[in-house]
Amino acid sequence: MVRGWRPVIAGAVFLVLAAGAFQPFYWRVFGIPRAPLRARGIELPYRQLPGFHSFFLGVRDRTHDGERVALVVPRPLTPSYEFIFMRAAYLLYGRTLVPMNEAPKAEAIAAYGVNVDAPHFVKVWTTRDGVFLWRMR
Amino acid sequence: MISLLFAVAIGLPAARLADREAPLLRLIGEAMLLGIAICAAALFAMSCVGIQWSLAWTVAFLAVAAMALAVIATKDAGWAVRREKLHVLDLATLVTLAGFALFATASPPPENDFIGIWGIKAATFSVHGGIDWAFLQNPAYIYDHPDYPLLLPLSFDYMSLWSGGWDRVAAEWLNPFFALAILAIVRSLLAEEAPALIASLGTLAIAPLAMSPWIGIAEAPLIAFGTAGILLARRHNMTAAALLLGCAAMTKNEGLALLVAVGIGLLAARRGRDVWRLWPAVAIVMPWLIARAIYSLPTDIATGPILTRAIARLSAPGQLATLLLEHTAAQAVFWIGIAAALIVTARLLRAEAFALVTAFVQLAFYIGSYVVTSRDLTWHVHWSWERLMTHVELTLAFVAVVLLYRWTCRGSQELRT
Repeated sequence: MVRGWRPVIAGAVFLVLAAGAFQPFYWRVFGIPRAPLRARGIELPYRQLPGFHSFFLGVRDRTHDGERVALVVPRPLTPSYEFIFMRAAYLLYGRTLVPMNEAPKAEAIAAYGVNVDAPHFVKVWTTRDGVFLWRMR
Repeated sequence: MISLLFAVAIGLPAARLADREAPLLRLIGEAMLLGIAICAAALFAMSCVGIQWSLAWTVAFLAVAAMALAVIATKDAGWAVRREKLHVLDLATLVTLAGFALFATASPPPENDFIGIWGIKAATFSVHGGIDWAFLQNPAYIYDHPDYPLLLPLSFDYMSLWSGGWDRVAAEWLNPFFALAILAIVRSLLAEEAPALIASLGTLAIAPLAMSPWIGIAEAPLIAFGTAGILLARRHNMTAAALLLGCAAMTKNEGLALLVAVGIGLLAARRGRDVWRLWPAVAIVMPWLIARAIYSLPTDIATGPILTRAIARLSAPGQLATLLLEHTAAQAVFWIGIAAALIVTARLLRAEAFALVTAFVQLAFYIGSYVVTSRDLTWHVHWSWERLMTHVELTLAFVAVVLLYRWTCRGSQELRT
């Protein structure tokens, strides 16, 4: 039988340690409906870029692996170009995303949040969130 | 799920070979960790020799390797294993883990680093049918840290092979997988230190530290491989420790730093001879370092005038100290608990010198990286410090629980005498 003051102090310190490690969400999650949680998680990376996710899924549907797609975005967007480029590149994995200054080397242009015209390219898909252009053959 | 079960089956003979005396839980935990690492290594090897990835090739290659290992593992000893005594409280740990699995698999990983580093690499390699070195060299994608080791993206790719193409669900399931693996090892090792009730209570208390909330990025595997490596080296299982530390080094550059920290920890604990026994870890990471050099994959932390930056930051250390304190605040209760445990058990710390020195040297390395970073200091600390601390928290919590138990027992012995 353990006696004395040490178990009390050790128990108190152990409780502090356990409280510091505790993650209540891993217990609360059992009571949270899964569908809204999933929907929120899917859109979370794109919450600063309205319509971005669905637009680039559309671009993905219109391109093939190995094709080069130039990314064009309007200058006043709050997130950095790298932030946007990273998300577009992820949604277009398998294709090669290039910065907008390399558009002449690309087969297609995906312009998010801006309506662009480019010489030697033709608009093939226009949405409220952006336009998609293909190089004329 | 089948892909993970297959990985565990592949890892079993390797775990048995590396840690012949491992009881059941520890063996399973080690098999999970070594198994997924072997699967990723198989894809790395296939890429290096120019074999296009396919499920048939991968399964055949792994099955042959596992059978060869199994023959060697059972040559001297059979498969009889001891079993740890479990306690009903272990069910609570499993419920926590189930909650974590629900959280981790609720949606595709939304993390910035998954999208920009780990996920994009895995998805691109999956389409390419191998490691796409041209993609890693592409300067437009420099943000994806091409110098980071590839164990995690290759693990995603191994799982995706079973789905017939890039499958982001793989990224959701690996976090609970790594958490289960390291908790099995932690529970087993605590059972060597204390009775079943204390071991299960201790595991339950510190279990959330194994469940990294950053889904799809390298924190979870680094915590699992790193903690397992340190705790096994702590009990002188150097072969298994070295293999797992090699896997940690193949997970993230911080794993390479951990290998050095473990070496320093061993020297501090007067176990200099064991430093040489870490050679398997170096052997595991060497092919990646060679490939990184051959393909000239750049690293960003050590670019530009390092010395100038270091002198500037060290001459005004207040900014860094304030930033670190600010971003430790969220975990203040935990760190108060660790500090209190170390203070009350101060007389017993020498016995745990290895694990404690390793953990604190690793944290010192992270602080050193802030001193020389080429990025904006405020931005860098804000987006990383909270995550980096989690790499050693499970190790420290394990040691704290063990020390508190020993201290209590010593008190009762003193009372008896």
